[in-house]
Amino acid sequence: MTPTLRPLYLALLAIAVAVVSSCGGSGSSAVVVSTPPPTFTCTAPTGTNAVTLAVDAGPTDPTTGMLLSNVVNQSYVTINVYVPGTVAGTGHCQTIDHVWVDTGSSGLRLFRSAFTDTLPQSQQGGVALASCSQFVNSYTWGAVRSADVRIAGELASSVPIQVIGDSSIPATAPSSCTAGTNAMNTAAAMGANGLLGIGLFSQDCGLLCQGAPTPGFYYTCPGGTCAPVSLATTAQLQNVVGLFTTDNNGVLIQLPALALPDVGQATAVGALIFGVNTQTNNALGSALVFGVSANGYIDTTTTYGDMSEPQSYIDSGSNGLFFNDPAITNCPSGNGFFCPASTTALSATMAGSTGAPTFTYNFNIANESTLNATFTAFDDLGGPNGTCDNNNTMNLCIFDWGLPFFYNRSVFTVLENTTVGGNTGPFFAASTP
Amino acid sequence: MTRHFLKPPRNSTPGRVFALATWLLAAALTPGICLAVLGQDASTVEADRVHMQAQRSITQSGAFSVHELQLPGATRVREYLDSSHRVFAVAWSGPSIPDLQQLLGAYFVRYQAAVRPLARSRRPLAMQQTDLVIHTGGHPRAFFGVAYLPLQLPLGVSAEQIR
Repeated sequence: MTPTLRPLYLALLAIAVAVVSSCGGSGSSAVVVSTPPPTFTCTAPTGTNAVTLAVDAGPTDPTTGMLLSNVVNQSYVTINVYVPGTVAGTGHCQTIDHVWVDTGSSGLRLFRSAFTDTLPQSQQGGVALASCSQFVNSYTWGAVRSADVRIAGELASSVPIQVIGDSSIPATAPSSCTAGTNAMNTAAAMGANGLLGIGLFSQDCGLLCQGAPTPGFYYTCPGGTCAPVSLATTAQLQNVVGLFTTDNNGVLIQLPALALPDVGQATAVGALIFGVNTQTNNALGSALVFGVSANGYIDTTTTYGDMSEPQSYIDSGSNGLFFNDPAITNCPSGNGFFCPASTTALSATMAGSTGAPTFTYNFNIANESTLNATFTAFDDLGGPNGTCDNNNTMNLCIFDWGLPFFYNRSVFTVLENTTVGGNTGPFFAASTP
Repeated sequence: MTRHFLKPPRNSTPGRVFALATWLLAAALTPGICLAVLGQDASTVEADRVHMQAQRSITQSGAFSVHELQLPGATRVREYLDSSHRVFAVAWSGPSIPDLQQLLGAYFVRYQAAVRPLARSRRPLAMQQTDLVIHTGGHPRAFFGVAYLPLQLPLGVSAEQIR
């Protein structure tokens, strides 16, 4: 930052901090609570730390009952959302099904159309606070509101969430948010009724956005013109797991092996379990620990063939295994999947945090265009990613271990600022092959 | 660079008017400016810098020069210019995806056509055409991308040097 600019940033920061801190307490003047409509019922909490995780065909249109989109390898849970402080009462509560579980991002994103209650709105400078979430080729855009969120028996109170399609902010996101990528601002476009980001970090942005207005995260739009604003970490979209009163250090995902490997299944049902080493059902055990750096990439490289891939990560929100191999044919439709002539057996090696031990994970890549179009769970879907050639290890040597990696395995995602079994978060861990 | 333009994004009418005014001012100060970059001349880098409120630094690297734009909030954009000052490649890395419509200029429509089938999922883009290569990747907090014109790489420069 140049000296000429520093006073301006400091002033903006001071204003932001002042506004944010004035929003902090419950009942403060900056939080606007509309009168909620009459009581809504919710499915009863199960009282445990585990919830059913389903890979299926995704949400249906509430009116027509028709499937909203054509999805594969998207895993969903059902959550309960309450107006803050109403959980103990008769409940201004809504059950939302088909919320997509994403260990590759942090923050809960829901659609305004998915619930009837009006949730308290976050403001800055007297106007609604807007939130942008960028993904690799898409974005979401919504207002920041707060809710109590219950999943299974776990409860997080007054969680700042993103409400997409909220009329309190301009309908169109600014260009520094869209960046020219695909809009994911409807349930049909997302293939889900919401996105539950329960990744490595406690917030979607963290200290970066607290320190300076950062394009692609938080905005205010006075007079309809949006500009990035800085925002205290506590007011940012939160990873709800970190706000649970118990089992709040991370998650374990368990999906079953598919009965007929490489063929796929109509659906697959497993579990999303909260906490790691907090209960008998979430022990880290002998899982291999992969430490990650501040950018969310595994510290050790994934080795694929003769490629050393330092930008590797495990992500339930990626619906395939994405890596660079020019020898595998891309699907001619340009849908981002591989279409080899026949199912191809491959492997890649991952190393633990200290560089040892190493394990080789075997996987198959099928021709996406020949897979059963009515199935939604596949352990053999993959696609091209990056241009890795070992001469250019700076940027695009990426191995994205997406949902196919999760079948027949226990995969842990442990939050930053936690310690589990002597390992410091953030880290991923996975059961060995 | 010590000049900075603070302006609203270009999504709303008042924002557009302000942006247009800013751009006209920049255009008046910079001869030959145009609103596109990949495939365009050096002056368009300045348009990008203004649009993205970035700071700019230039390094010479043999057959080409790299104009690096430091965006607010840690994202870096690097534009590669050949000896005739034409942009033959752009690359980016960081927590925010830069405005690709601005960066890719006339090539943006081809990016859009390629990325549309990837909607509803978080697949990276690997677009490999004779005259245009675009790769995007990464995940929230750490995105990457490169876009270059293979037929316009300076002699002796390989795609691996674009990062």
